[in-house]
Amino acid sequence: MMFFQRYRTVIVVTLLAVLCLVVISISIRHPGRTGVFRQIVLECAAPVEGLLGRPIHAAAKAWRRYLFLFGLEAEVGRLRRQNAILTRRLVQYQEGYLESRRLRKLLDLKEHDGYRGTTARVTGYVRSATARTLVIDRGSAHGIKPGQAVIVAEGVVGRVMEASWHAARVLLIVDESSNVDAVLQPSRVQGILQGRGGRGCQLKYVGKIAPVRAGDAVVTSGMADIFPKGLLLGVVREVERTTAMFQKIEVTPAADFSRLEEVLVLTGR
Amino acid sequence: MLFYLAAPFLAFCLVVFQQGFLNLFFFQQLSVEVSLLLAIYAGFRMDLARGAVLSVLMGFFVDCLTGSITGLYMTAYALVFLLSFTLSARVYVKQGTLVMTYVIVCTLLEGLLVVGLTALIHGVPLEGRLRVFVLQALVLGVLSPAVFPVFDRVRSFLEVDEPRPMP
Repeated sequence: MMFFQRYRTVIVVTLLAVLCLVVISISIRHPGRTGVFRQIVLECAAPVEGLLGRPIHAAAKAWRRYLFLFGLEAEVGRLRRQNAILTRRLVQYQEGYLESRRLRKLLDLKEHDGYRGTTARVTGYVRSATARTLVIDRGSAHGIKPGQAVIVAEGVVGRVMEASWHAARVLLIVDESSNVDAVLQPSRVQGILQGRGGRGCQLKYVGKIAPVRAGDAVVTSGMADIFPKGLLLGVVREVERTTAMFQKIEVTPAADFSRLEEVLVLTGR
Repeated sequence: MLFYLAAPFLAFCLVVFQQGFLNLFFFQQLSVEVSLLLAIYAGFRMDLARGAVLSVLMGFFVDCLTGSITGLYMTAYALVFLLSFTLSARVYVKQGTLVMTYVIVCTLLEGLLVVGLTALIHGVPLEGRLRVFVLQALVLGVLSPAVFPVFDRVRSFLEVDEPRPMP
């Protein structure tokens, strides 16, 4: 016992050195073999490590998620900007497509009637108490003259009132000062289509015995040499037979003036 | 006796905590070897047999959990413990900066030993790993003044049945 007390340090150090050397030697000699103690330690440590790692993993996940969301904000901003650009572009393309369709219709109309025409873009719509006119972006420089007919695929729009070099004013058929020679398509009864502002048009001077029904088409007669014959002016909306000499015929114009964007000005044959 | 019963369990818990929690806390980039601090502490404050047992156990557990050659860390820890034990007889380590410096030196020594032995056994040069040990040494050095008082408290709890010297 005294020996152990006296040489305690030496014994412990020697034991330590021997233990370490033996363990390392065994480990090097059998590198592929897992010792029993090592297996026990692994077996016990694995679930504990998993348990300890769970909150850290959760925190790391939350942090990554936070970083992801933080990045997502910038990403969302970028995508929104991109979306706005693409939407704008899409609208532009759609506009182009619709415009081409409208122009195609106008072109077909021009070819069909054998008239020379100039397409013009509507740049203004004047809707005052005294007048209902359009402003187009073509003028005398493009062959536009007062009195020329202005049409769209749906029907007659009006006629040119005045023209400058690069713009012209068009009097709509709904303007109260507008009078167009017209004919009821089914009965071939003639009359004068007069504008009535917001209420559309009225076909005047149609005798009370003339057969007129709601839904009848009203077309240009071609008599005043302003409008070609047979262009659709509108459709009879209402017929009122009174004791007067003529019938009161309300006509809905064929063209929708509030949605006009391009028109065809018939400049001659 | 309580110490010898509790030491394996506590050493195991400490190593598992250090491997499972602290390393993850540092995103697996840095190994914070609190067990090495304990080995150093054991060298300074514990008796030879207890310190040796504790160091060897911790070294073994670290070997098992890090997947290194069995006996590698065990040897390193034993050497660090013995070095600390030898120094404790000559130097009174209480001052914070001295503790920090000594811990840094010991950690670097452990790193050199581990890298050197691994390179020797596997024949793989591991110069790049030394950088990790430098960083680890700095972290452990900074931590040591805060960790040693905690070890003091645990030791006082475990040494309740220690036979006191006769007056």
